[in-house]
Amino acid sequence: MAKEILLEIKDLRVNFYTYRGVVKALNGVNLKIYEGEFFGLVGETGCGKSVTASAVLNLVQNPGKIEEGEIFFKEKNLLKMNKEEIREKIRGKEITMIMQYPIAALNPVMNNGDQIAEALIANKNMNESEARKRTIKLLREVNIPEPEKIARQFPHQLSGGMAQRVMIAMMLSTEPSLLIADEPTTALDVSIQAQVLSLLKDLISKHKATVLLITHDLSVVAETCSRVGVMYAGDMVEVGTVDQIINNPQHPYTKGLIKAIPSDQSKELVEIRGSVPDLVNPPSGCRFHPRCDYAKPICKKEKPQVLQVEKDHMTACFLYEERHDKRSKEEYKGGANGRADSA
Amino acid sequence: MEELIQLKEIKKYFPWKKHKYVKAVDSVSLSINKRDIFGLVGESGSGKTTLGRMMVHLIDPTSGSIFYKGEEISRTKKIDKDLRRNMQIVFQDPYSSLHPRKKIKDIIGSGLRTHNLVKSEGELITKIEQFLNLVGMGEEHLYRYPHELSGGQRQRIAIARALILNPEFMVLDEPTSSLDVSVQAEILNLLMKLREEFNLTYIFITHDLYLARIITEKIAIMYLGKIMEYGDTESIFKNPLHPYTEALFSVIPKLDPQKRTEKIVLKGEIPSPVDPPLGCRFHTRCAKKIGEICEKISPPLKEIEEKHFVSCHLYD
Repeated sequence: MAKEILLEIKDLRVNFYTYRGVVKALNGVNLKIYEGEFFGLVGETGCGKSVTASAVLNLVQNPGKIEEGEIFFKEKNLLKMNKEEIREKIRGKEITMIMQYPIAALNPVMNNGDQIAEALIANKNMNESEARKRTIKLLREVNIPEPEKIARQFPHQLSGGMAQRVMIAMMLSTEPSLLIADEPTTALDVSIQAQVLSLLKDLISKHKATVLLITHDLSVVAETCSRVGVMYAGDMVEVGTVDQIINNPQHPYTKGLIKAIPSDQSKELVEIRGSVPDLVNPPSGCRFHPRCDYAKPICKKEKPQVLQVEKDHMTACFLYEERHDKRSKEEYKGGANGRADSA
Repeated sequence: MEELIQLKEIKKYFPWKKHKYVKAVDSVSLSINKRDIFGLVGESGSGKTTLGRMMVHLIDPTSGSIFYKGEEISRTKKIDKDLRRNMQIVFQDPYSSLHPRKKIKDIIGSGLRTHNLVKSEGELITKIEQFLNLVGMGEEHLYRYPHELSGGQRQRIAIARALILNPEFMVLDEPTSSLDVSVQAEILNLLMKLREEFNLTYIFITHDLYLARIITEKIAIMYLGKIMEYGDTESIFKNPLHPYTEALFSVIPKLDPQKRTEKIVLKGEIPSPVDPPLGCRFHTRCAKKIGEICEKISPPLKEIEEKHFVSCHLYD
């Protein structure tokens, strides 16, 4: 795999100004997505995964505000572009997004075929009959039986799985380089989830696109993605390949998350004590420290730096920092500081 | 073991347009023993929730009978109050199952009042406080409203509301499906602890097979209103016999790459329960369909291994 960086997010901070106070939704998130990969972003409700996606598409709206940071897409800073430029060149063309509830995301008063054709006419300069032909082809590509009939139907006549296929067809119609899939299968049954995920995988390799898959389900990521980022309360706590995260998790939150999921490996469920913090008053230092079994005094005071565990594997935790320092001291005999630059 | 609930040929048809019916549950027979943790597993539209609701007499079956400790409860118009107290239910969505304009105190306490279990207001408050503590919450929540609580806390209130009446058995209808995984573990561990303490029988409704494996002792796999496979949880996990169960196992995402098997991706979608397929309900999506017999004759539940029942013509 050629390791060209497609999307790079640097120190992204997003706040929401609500009547209760300022919700610090993203607290300096760093992320790199390489071309052609399937990247999974995992975390619980309110950890900022969807906000990250909206920031990439410049969809953070009032009362939300991007305070700081840079988002580079194909080496262009998206945050420096004006609204028109993003709309004309990026959103819906270069970067598209699949939503969690396809039936709510589709236009209820327009038939399925026209919705897809509309995107083609607007973005690909096709005339109407060309667009219609292409629409049927796209619907066939996402394994919809009787595409001519489905194209004439409206979204409410579709089941969840079918609507998600229509959505995927629409999002692939403009041949995007990056597809953001926000919980694409959460509302679907397992048997339909398997169909949709395998379809998505096939199409992505065929169209040579890159995917950012957002989900709360680590097992879905383990099956479909090559790399994973784990988020907690607005921080990226650990990034690595699927194998590194599942078999050698470093951050206590990642470890807790793996144990809490009912899976083929678990015999009992281990809970993470406490609850997700209120981001109006996030905990000081490491945001996970009130729930962490290994918390030390320093965790309350400072935000841990992102350190490299091994190639491609980063984590932000003082526990690792300690071990890391010890090791690098041995390696360098008290010489140079072996800290890797933050990811 | 003492039998607590017995279902005989239970059917529930909901009227749907003219002369049509949604066959939500179609001829289900089951028996549940005291202190069982019985899992009802299936995808949406399989009838698991309808079955659970019939067990606590929230809805009446169209035909068939339900026995509770040998006494029929399905045909009785007026059900004994004490019987009602003995069967409680925790609903799936804690955001809609708690009255938004009532205080926590009144939500938990209303059952005590209806059943005349407390004599004075003081006794009521003490009892509510005791159960709040039991589900891991403090007295400070007594005078709050549901909107002030998180999803996990709300589900704890729903559990306290059910438990305070000292029931014999509880239907847990996907109690954690709307919660985050770390909170899910917390609620389930609490439920298991309470079961030990109060000697409860649980009906655990879920769509998550791995969860069912951890929690339950026996499971029934449902599809379109019928039971496809039923037996001890471990034996079903070790040796799934029905093609539907097999497919279901193969498609759940797995953490461990080595446990990944060839996926049996089911073709198409669940057929409409208004016009379910004739014969075996699963034949339209089955990879192991034998032939005409599957389309014409509905296979009966047969005991293939000890305490392991399957409804499939493959085992005729």
